[in-house]
Amino acid sequence: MGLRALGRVAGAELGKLGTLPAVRWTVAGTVGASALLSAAVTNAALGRSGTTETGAAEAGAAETGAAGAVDVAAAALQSVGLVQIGLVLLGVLAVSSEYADGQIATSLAGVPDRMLFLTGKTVAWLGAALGTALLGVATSYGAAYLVVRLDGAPARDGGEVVRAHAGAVGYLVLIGLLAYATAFLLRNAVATVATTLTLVLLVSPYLARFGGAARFLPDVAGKQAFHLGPLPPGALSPGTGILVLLGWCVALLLLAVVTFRRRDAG
Amino acid sequence: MLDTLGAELRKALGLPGVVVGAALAIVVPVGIAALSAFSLRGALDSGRAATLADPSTVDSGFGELGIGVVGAAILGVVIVSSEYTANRVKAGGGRQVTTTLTATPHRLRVLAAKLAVLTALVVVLATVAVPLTLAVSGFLLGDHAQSYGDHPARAVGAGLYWLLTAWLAFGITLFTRSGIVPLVVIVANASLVSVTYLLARSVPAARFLPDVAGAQMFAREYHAPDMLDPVTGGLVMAAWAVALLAAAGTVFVRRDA
Repeated sequence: MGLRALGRVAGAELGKLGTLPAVRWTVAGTVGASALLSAAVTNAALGRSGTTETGAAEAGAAETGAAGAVDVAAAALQSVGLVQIGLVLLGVLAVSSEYADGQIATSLAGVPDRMLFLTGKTVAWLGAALGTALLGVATSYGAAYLVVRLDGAPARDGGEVVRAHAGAVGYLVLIGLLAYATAFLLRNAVATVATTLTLVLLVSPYLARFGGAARFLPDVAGKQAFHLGPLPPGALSPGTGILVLLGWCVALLLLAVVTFRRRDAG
Repeated sequence: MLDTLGAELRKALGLPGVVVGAALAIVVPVGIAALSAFSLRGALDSGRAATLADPSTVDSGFGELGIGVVGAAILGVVIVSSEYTANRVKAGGGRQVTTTLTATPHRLRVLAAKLAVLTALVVVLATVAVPLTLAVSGFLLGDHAQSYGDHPARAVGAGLYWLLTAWLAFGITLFTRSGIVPLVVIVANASLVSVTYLLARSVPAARFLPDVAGAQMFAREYHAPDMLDPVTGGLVMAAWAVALLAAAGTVFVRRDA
């Protein structure tokens, strides 16, 4: 498979992706929601730091040290937990649209080399996902920054802020890639959304509370990439965390490749 | 009507999504309750309670039922969305709903049968999952478990919460005719970063939202101020579900299928 052929396939796939109404809505919704959520979370953190309420576990994350100061970066990164839904949807829609009404038959008639098709589609998807994640994280930070500035509270940022935000972008793309690979295995949008969201939003956050092997779950490990502050004992480092998530992605993608090559396409 | 009921039941049981939803409804709450109770007991026994984010056992078992509700919601979504999934173009590209309404050209009867089947399935699931989750949690917590007390009332409340959530999912899917939107809304909202829960912590009116109000039927440590009492909460959630079903039913009867 030549690079030019790959480029043409990726271009075609990007065109298909960009003209799906559901994908456009997902990208717009993801970016819009991350701005709104981040503003809301930051606003709540400002209110709490004003009254110096403590106790609830989730209340502590966005506050640091001195009363009255809100960490913009920590507040902005809190919305990633919900923004990841957008990337999961992006991954699912890109694949399930091929199978919803037999588009895959046309796609493979156009590109009979299945590996070339899969590589091109994945490259195109990664581009779209990277763009969405970058926009989402940037608007999230921007919204948190604006809220803090408007309120007149001092914005405090550590040196690791850039690393954490890059980690958040990487996490979002990879968690979407995981859904993308799962969608190739299940081929049905509703089934894939139900499976991936239940695992990522419900099961693994609860398992994560018990530590142990749960820290190697894809999203638990990946979330270390945008962890701010000192690591709790036994936790994976940001680099290891994102590599573990990458490992899950590679494993599921390999499974998807094997299935996609061997299975009847329809 | 009996024939329609039988047909809808057989269609529902033949859906992979219903089987997956039912499995999740039992495995997720029981499994997580077991793990949670196990680690909580270990921490309490060794006196490390201070290291836990939440050392209380008041909501042990019940909290997990709040996650297991996703299984019931998947049932509500899939029973409707499966009707609207288009077949392959090569196989005619038809949708199940065309066949359904040809066989039973009475839309309200179809809807009533579907709702009855959903209700029956969720009631069966809740009757298995709720006592099992509570029993597992109570057994593994041993001496630390809460005394029996108001458990039966709360257990019924949790079961009602499952049923009403399934109804809400059913109603939303009738509007959207696609399963993705209701699934995202319900799964995301059952998670640790629930939007309505965050709202309830800061906006007083949010206590009337369906899931916030309904959760009061079984949750005792809902970390938000000024919540409704269990009975009122249940009634508010039921009112939401009935209103949504009435609106969705009107749409289903009047809209081009």
